[in-house]
Amino acid sequence: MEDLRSTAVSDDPVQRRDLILIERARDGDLDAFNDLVILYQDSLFALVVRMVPDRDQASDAVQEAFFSAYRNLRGFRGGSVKSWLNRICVNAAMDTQRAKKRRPVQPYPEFEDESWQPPAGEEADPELTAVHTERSRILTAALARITDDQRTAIVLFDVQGYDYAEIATMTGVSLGTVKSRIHRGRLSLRDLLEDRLELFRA
Amino acid sequence: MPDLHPSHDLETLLDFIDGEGPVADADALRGQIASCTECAGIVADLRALAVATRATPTPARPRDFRLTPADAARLATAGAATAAHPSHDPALVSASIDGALDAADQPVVAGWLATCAACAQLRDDLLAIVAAHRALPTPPRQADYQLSQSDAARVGRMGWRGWLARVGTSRDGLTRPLATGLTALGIVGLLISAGPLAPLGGSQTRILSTVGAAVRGPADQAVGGSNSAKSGANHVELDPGSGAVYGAASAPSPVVDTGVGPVAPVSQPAASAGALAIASPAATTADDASAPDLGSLPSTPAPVAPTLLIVSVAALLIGLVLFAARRLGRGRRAP
Repeated sequence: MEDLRSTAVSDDPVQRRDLILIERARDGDLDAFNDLVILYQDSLFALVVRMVPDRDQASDAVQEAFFSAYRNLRGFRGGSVKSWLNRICVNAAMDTQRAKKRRPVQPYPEFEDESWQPPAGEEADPELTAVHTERSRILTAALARITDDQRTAIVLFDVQGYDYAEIATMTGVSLGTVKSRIHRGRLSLRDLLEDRLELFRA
Repeated sequence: MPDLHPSHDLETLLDFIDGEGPVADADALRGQIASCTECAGIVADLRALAVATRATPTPARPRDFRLTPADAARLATAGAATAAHPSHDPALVSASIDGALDAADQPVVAGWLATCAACAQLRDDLLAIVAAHRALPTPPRQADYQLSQSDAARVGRMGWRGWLARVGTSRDGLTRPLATGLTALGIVGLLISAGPLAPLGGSQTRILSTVGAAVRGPADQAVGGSNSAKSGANHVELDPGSGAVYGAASAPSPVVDTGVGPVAPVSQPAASAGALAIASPAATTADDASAPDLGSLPSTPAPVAPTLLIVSVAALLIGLVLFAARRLGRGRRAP
């Protein structure tokens, strides 16, 4: 079997740990794979739920991504396990977006859901908390109204920190298309938020 | 006094109170108010309301609205600066916040940001939106995504079992439409093959006999082969999918005997033998020299009907197999 550690950066303890878990999982150790699930399920759900605002569909996409990762353990060619899982999740989320177009559901019930809003600590300034809550609510609503492609590009670039080239590889489009989606998406957001921009300028 | 109010026009009454109604109606309205207690009450209430509204105190002016010289200078600059804004590319302003501008664009956009208030505001707004986006809270994860042993067994299946498991998942959005499409195509193709639309006047009988020729096996093929060999090059050139090949390959068989006479001798030109199979009986009695056109008919390539039949059967079978696989895959899914 290919020694994954030889093809990756071994100085990073996180990377080393992940590669060991992958190798054990490839040997049939389900617990090792589930350790990876425990390590990354929160961040992957956070990624997918921004791309697919319907939380049930996002949850299904994450589960399907882990299934896909387990099925394709032998396809892992080294490098960052987190990036590998992210790529699988982005693909699963895009599949879900495409399926959503075929079978539209009740769009984005999360808008009125308090758990989507930032938690307010006891010491928090109530006025500031209200501003943040309102800001999150209207931004989430605006994000849901731009196109899936624009939202995906913005999430990957502005939130996840991937660069244009990585996003192009992940989403299978050209560099120019990625740039266009990001910039047009931002401008669309600004148009949608035009009446409430004071909340963001504060 | 009779209550006449329901027949009175309230709108006309309101116009009268405001002094907007026609002068000619004034006397009639005064009479109406004097004779109708309800109208009189309405008029009294509205007049009191108007008086109270006029008596509402005006809040103090919060500030002096005169423009200062600084205001005037700022407005003049802003007006001049934003006048050219429509020609500025907002996508480049967006790219500037990522540091992703080409070397050629950098000074251009820097100039816009320095002199165009609208571009500067756009950049500030986009920065604020990006920051707010990064600060968006994440809703709590809904499930634990660890795989159970049964999940792993199902997902990890390789080969045809893994394919079955994947086909059976509800998220597989390809198999069902593919199976439906192939099955439908297969059925339509079969109908066309067996129907009057079959090319070259093809009929069910001809197709079935073509298939029958193929099914009869190597014995007939061997006979046909010998016939072909005996009849020379013309026979070999006959289309195997047409009636001609049937006539050629199965000439000795009683099936080919149309009842108008024996099959043409093997020394007869192949074209005539082919015509015997599909043309009218009259053609079989015609002199070879007098029926050159009939002889050319079977030599026309006509593989479409059998090809369509084969493709249709294949599509139908693949579609049905996909349906069955989907059903089996679902049955194999772990609970």
